[in-house]
Order: sequence, then C-alpha cells, then structure tokens
Amino acid sequence: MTHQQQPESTPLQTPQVEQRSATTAWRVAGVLGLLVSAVVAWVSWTNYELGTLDRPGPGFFPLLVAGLLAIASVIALVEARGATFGYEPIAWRRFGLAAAVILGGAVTLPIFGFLPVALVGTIALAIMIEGKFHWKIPVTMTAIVFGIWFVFERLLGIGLP
Amino acid sequence: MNPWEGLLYGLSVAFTVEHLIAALVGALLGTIMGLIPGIGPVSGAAILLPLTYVFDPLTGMIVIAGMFYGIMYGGSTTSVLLNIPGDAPSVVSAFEGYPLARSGRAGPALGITAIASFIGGTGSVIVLSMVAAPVAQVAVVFGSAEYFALTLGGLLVLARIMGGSLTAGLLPLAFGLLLGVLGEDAISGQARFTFGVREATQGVSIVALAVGLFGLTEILRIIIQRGSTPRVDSLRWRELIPSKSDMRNSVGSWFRGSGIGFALGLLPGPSISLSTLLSYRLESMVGRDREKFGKGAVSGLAGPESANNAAATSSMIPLLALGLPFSATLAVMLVAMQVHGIQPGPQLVTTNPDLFWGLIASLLIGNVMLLLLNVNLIRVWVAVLRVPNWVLLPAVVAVCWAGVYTFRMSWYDLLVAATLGVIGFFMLRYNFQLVPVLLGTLIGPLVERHFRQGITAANGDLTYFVTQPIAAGIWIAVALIVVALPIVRWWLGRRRQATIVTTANERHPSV
Repeated sequence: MTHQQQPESTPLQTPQVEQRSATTAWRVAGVLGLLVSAVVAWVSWTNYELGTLDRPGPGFFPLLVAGLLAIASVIALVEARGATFGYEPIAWRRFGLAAAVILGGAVTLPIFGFLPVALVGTIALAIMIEGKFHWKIPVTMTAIVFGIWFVFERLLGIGLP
Repeated sequence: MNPWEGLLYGLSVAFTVEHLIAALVGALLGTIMGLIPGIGPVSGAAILLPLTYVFDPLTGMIVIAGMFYGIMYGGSTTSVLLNIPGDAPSVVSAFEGYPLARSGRAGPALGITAIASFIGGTGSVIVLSMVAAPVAQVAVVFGSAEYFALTLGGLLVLARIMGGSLTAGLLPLAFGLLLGVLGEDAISGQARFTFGVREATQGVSIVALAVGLFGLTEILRIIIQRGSTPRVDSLRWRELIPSKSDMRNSVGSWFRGSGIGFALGLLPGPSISLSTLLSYRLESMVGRDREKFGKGAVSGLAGPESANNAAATSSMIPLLALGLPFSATLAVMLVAMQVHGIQPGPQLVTTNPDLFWGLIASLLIGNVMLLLLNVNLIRVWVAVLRVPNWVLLPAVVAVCWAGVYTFRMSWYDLLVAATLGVIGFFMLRYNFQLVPVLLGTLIGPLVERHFRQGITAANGDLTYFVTQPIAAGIWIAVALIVVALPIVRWWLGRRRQATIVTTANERHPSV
C-alpha cells in the first residue's frame, strides 16, 4: 500500500526557516523586565516586611527576584544585538481574532455560562480556521460543546457555570 | 520492602478492573491528543488534566500515566505518517519513519515504534522501581541547604542550558519566579502582589499555568498557520506486523536506545530530545541496517523511540525521589500529582507506599495498555488524523476553558491562562523558552521556603548554604555546568573557526 502524504519534504531536506533579527523584541523585553523589576522592588520595599537576614519577612524573596529580573533584563539588552528568531510571517488579523476569542471567552464564561460562550467562541474559531462559513460548522460545534458539557456535568460530575 | 516486592505490591494495588479501564481511557485520550500535530506531551497532558479531577489519587495517576505514554505515541505516529512531529523528541522518529512510510511501509514503521516504545518504557519502569526508593531514602537526610542548592541550582542549570543564550533562559526564569511569589506567603500568610483581588490570594493556579503556557500557546500557534488537513491512507492492524528482517534489525537498537534513554533521562533539561538524537547517531554507526540511513532504516527508528520512552520514564526518578521536576513534562506530571493531593518526595515511599508503588505500577500498566491499543486501533488513529483542524482546535479550546475554570471555580484562573497563552505565543516567537517560566513558578516557592528555613536555622549565616558537604557538591556541579560549559563551548567554537580559516588558507594560499 502506498501512502501519499504532505508535506513532500523529508526531515533531511527540511526547508530552512528564514532567520531575522530579534533585536527590537529583546530590547522591548529588557526594558519591560527593568520596569517590572522596579515596580516589584518598590512594592516589596514599601508594602511588605523585609525582616532581617536571620528572619526574612514576606518582602525579602520578592526583592531578590526583582534583582534577578533586573540582571536578566540588562543581559537581554546586552545580548539583543545578535538575537535572531526563525521568521514565519504572522497573519496578524487571524492572530488578533484568535487571541480575542480566547481572551474574550475567558472573561465572559463566568458571567454568561459555559454553553453560550463556548458555542459562540468555538463557532467563531472554526469559521476563522476554515476561512468560510458553512452549515457543518454550527452543527458540529453544537454537538462538541454539548458533548464537553455532558462529560464535565454528567459523567465527571464537575459543575460548569 | 525490596524493589521487586514493591513493584508486585504496586501491581496488586493498581491491577483492578476500574484501574485498567482508567488506563485504557487515559491511553485513548492521550493518543488522540498526541495525534493533533504540534501538540506534545506537555501541552497535551496540560489540556487533558482537568478530565482527571474527579478520580481518587491512584486512579487519577493511572489515567495520567496512560495519557502521558499515549501522547508520546501519538506524536510519533504523526512523525512517521505525516512528517509532523508532535514535540521535539519525536523529530528524530521522522528521520527514518517518514521515508519508511513513503516507501509503503508505514504499517511496519508504526509496529516497530509501538514495540520500541513498549520496550523502552517497560524496561525503564523496572529499573526505576529499583532505583527510586533507595534514592528517596538517601534524600531523607537532606536539609534546607541541600534542597536550596538542588532547587535553585537546578533552575539555574536549566536556564543556562535551554535556548542557547543566557537571556532566552534567564529572563523567562525570572518571570516564572515572579509568578511564583504572587499570592499568599506560605510562611507569614500575607497576601503579596494581589492588589486587592480576592481570587489572586490563592496564587497562580498550576492548571492555568500549564494550560495557558503550553496548551493555549500551541493552539494559537497552530491556528494562525493556515494548513490543509493531511491526506493519509487507511491502515489495517495486520499491516503493523514487522517482518523477520525488521525484527532482526531492531532488537539491538531497542536495548541500546533504552540504555541511552535511561541514563540521559536522569539529567535535567532537554535530556529526552538529547537521548533520541544520541541514539539515532549511535544507530547510524552500529545499526544492522546502517547503510539505509536517511532512506528508511528500521534501526534508526527503533533506537530513538526506545530512548524517548526510557528517558521519559527515568526522568521521573528525581521527581519521585526528591519531589523536583527538571523538565516541562515532569512539571506537568508534578502538577497532575498535586492536583490529586500527592506531593512526591523522599517521604512518599514511607508515608504512602500504596501511592508510591501504585504510581510506578501505573506506568507499567500505561505501557502495556498502549501497546494493546496501538496494535488494535490503528484504523481509528488514522481516522483521527483525517479530522480537520476546524473541528479539533475549537474543541480543545473549549476543553481548556472548562478545565481551567472548574479546577478552582475561579474567573481569575481563566484570565491568567488566556493571558499566559498570548504571552507564551510571543515568547516562543522571539526565541524565549517557556519551560523556565513553568518551572520557575512551580519550584520558586520551594526555593523561597528552603532559603527562609535555612537562613533562620543558621541565624543569618549565609555560608550555611555552601558549607554543608552535599550542598557544596551540588553547587560545584552547578558552577561547572553554568560557568565552565559556556567557556568550553566558546573555546570549541574558536577552534573550529580557526580550523576553517586554516583549511581555507591552505586551499587558496593567495587569499
């Protein structure tokens, strides 16, 4: 029996992913890291007891972590110049929609309940992945969402909102 | 109780109809999850974890063991049939498995994979059962200094050896440690960085962390890649049976791969991937059919597959004996254990032998169940590969939502998981490692606890952490890896560069 599969390339001939500079991204990460470490250090210093070296308080360890984050951020800024990443273009609209559905579902699920949110969310994701709407999508997604609800609610006895 | 008695005791505890069904369900779900291209053991186990909430600890662990091996086998199946590895260790399976499938020998390739996984996993479980309890007994004498050295040293080693550059590992590790301090302080009970949000006092949920960082990140990555559903022809179970010559070519590879896997699995970091690569390299030199390498050599598939499962199993020794996970897969296993109220470590074998030996026996049952399933359900697996992404991925997202929310019935957990999913996507894109974030969050509170306990016991004397003999030994090993390894790598790089320049000059003396 012959097998016809895609993609055609073998691992030994895997096409090289284009490498691009990640300098800006690493610099942004370094600056963000420095900002976060400053906030963490300030909050630890002002809000929590630091204690003494023989009896450290709840603010002591976060202060150390802030220090480590600051050091790591400085190293990121230094190493940013030679940083690269495997470039595969992001379909930003597609990413934005998918992230919005995942985040939106997380925010609205406790408010509206699992069934309506999961139905709308999965149908939206399915349409996006398929690239078009067809009648199979709402039918399949309804079956899947009710199936998941049934497994959690009835089979496992875990209450969903 | 000697190890053999322990293993038999574990089997007597775990070998019930209920547990066998649990193993079957776990292996079934795990394989289906592993068949989704791009979903590896870490993200797959994280996504399926919520389905085990309702079981008692031992049943839950049996389901998870089945899932764990199932996901690994599913990943190897997509490697062989589609040339799409489920995770890093499965990449090597595609090197010989895919050419075998393309030459019409997909059945025997999958058969060899199943047997190799079984031999590697089972052999490793048997050795694990002999080693884990004695190691745990040694670890009973460990104090704060030793645990502090093990936890912080382990994290630093991991951050250093993952990702190549210091930033790629260290920045995510610091981020993970920061996530670990959010919530209630375990010693004083004071809420930290919660900013008045009541739900945040419980800290970052381990399920939200694993599902967000590995499950949702992977799903986002797959969703934005437009791809058609792969075409795979159907297979019958009879076609899985390898020929006599396949068996002859594989036998040595199974045992060599298992040995390499078991030994390397004990090291922290990406040891499973390393073991598969090393096994492949070894087979290309000593395998019986080494002349076929690159064109579909059975030994090049059998060795790495055995190594993969053996390493995955032996890497559980530090987890079971010390309670410390040093890879992402183990971190998810730890999460799974904690969800069921199990805290692995040196005390587990003495305080809860039912669970300890039952857990080891569950790995054995998971392996056997998977072999039986793989051989009989190959048509089902091929059918799953034909299910389009527009059906699978939204379903997985809905399971993630339900699973994360129901763990603590918390909207905060859902938000954390979704946010970490988006952050993880960008981190992966720009070459930052996700594993240090997960391990930093999980192990960070242990580092803090042992630091505070140790420094209090030593009356503020910081030298306490480096003067205890075992702790000093651990720190020397950490220093060698963290400091000496990059220097050796840099020196080797310079030497290679010098050799290239000399060779070029010899070829073109006028240049």
